[in-house]
Amino acid sequence: MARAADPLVRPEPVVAIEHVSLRRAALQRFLRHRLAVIGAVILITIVLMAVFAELVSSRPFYTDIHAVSKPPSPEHLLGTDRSGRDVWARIVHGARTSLTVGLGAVSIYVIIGSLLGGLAGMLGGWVDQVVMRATDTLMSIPTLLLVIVFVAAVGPSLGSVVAVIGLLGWPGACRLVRGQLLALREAEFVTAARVVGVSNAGILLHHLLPNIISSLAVLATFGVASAIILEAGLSFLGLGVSIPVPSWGEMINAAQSPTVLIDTPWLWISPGVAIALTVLAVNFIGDGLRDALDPRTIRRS
Amino acid sequence: MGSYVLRRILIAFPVLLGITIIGFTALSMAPGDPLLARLDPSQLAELQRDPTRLAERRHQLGLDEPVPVRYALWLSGAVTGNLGYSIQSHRPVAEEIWKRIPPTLALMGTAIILAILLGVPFGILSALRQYSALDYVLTTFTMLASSTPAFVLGLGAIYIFAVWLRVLPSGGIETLGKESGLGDFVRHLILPASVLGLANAAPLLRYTRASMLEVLHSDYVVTARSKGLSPRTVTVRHAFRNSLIPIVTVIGLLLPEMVAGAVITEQIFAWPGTGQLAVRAATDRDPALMMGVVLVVGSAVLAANLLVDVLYARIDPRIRLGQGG
Repeated sequence: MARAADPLVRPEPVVAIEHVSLRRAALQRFLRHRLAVIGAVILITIVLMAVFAELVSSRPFYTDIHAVSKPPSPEHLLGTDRSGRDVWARIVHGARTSLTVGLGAVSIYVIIGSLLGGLAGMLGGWVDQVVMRATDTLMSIPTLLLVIVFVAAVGPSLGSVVAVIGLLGWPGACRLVRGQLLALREAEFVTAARVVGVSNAGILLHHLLPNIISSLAVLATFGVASAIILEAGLSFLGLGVSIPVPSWGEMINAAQSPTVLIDTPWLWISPGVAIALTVLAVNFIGDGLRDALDPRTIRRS
Repeated sequence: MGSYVLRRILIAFPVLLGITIIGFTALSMAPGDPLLARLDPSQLAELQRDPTRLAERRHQLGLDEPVPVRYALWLSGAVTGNLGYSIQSHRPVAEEIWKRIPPTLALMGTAIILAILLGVPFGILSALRQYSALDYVLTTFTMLASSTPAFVLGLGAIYIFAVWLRVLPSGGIETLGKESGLGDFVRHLILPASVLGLANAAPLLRYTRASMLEVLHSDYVVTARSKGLSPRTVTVRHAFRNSLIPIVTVIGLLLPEMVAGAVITEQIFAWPGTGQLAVRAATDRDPALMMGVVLVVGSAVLAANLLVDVLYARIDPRIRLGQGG
């Protein structure tokens, strides 16, 4: 308290305390969001399952010719497929594929989108025009169709699915970063920082970035959910990851044949539930993050 | 109004060009001989016996040219309706696509109407009774529906209605060996259209709810209420009309997503539309067919967006009068 009287010392600690409390408030808000916590618990379980897949289940490629298309049993928790492979093992290892695509593709496009959006927002002029027209064009084509075109060109594989979704998914992030930059540039606290003599880099790093990052985190979370659905859809169509890699969508692909659909429902129901559960968990987290990170809701509470 | 529509059309053309350029560039990276996609198959067999004439023909068609020149050639063909030949079926691409458009339009049209009929009224109801049991049920439903991929929903629907209850056909557009009629067509349409409609009703419901809630809390609605107008008048004449504007935008934004959903839905239900053709073009690595699909689907999405923009201007006088830019 005594230090607060000294005008030279005061600003720094106050800013630091404010910073921590904002973050803590966000965390508290997130933890109070019941569905978000449930989503986080489910997702953490799935992530642990994917990381320790070898410990949780056995051999996803092992084919047991004595147990072909068997329904769930104590030995094979979720049954076996037409080649005698354990469905549970393929679900567990399929989680790796889904999470790799979700996190990998979204990381790529958030970086590309931020860079392009940042350039467009900062430079303006013709750079802005070119970037925004490219964004409009990409946004007006159905992503799935575009991804199909690219996969048809480079061939289906885990790497190409990640790369294609990553290289095509950036318009949302780009628009968001540009919009935020344009809005924040006019904000009073930025003018204030400039008046005090903060450099351009300092303004970008300490004033613009923290504001943009929370919106980007929300966008990225929902993006992970969409990317997981997109990968599953592609693999379902036979255009996603190639055969030996276990993928939930690819597992469901087999159910396009009526005999699989009718006679061995455990082959498509369990991967279907796995996709829905994962995406639901990620969406819950996204909802929680949005409520927790929105500065307006923080101020209101 | 006229100049507004004209301006929108003028913007749509460069975007369409952009789409085809992206598609063409991507497909030109693909391995395989593009000559196969440009020749009439009857000539091709003859030419393949003679390598020098093949090279000559390649030169004539400009296929030894760099990608931008080849794109220009494709474009000049496309303008006159010549989209090349499918390497798999050996038929003209334009003809292949043309017969696939009506089934897709029927499927998507029905699905959109269904999505609006379910999403908008229930979204309004959900907003009017915020935090009620109904609101929770509907919110849970939208969460579940938007987290379940269309193909899981579709397979579930086939399993329940075609396999278990045996009330509807599991796929196709007509019963084989039976005289096709409207009744038969509708029976085949019910499942795919319901799956696609339901999948899109979920986001529409969520947006309608949010938009309605925002309007319900706005000053003019509070004013209308405090003037003593009946809740019904406030809801219908003040709130609903204004919440329509964002709802129309959302329907426009949903269209590209819906096309993607249609690709998967057509595949599950063996619906002979453009989406199924796109999947075939990709599995067969058929560049001319793929480009044709990109052109047609891209134009359709842009045209639909244009329609939404015009509708938007009709509803919102600010845009019509040129203030909304």
